[in-house]
Amino acid sequence: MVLRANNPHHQEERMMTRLYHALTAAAIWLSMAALIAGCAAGTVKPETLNQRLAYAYGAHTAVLESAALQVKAGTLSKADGESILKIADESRTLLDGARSAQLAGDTPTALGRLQVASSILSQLTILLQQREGAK
Amino acid sequence: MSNTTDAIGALNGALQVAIQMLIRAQEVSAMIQAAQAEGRDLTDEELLELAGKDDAARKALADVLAASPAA
Repeated sequence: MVLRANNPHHQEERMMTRLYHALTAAAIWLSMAALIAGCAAGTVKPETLNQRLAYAYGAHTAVLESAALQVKAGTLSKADGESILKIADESRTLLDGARSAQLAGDTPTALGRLQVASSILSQLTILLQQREGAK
Repeated sequence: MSNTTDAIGALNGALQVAIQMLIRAQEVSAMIQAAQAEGRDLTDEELLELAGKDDAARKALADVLAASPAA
């Protein structure tokens, strides 16, 4: 075992395998990034408050789904996942409040709640991206 | 080499979140386009439909956390 680990030929082989995996992952990432950029360009720009609310609900769902995937994959700890869930719940309360305010015709309140909820969602998204990168 | 691996790990994390965001954005975009084709804005019922899907995602995360051993 020690002899095998110290064998220069074996070490070179392992390095080449790692390099191959790194390059493959980078190529896949670049392809997916290009695909995402293309698809994102095709989404409709929100023009009304209800449309902005709809995108915010979608982003909220994406944060929850990303957190679940990362906890399952072991790249996000249970404690961090629970923190994200707790903060996401606050964001969801704000979104529901914005929807209720809009229904009642109180657009300024709806806009204010939507802005705070969106800000929280942006922070959660950054946190999720950094957590996976930190592992 | 570990720097390269870390960098790719960070890119994968960003990509994974971006993919989830894109899937949901496409769904909402299609909903908006359908409403616009009918000459109207999104209704409260449609927002409630999205809220229902969000509830399901919340439950899925809570279930994953419950099944996950403490660190």
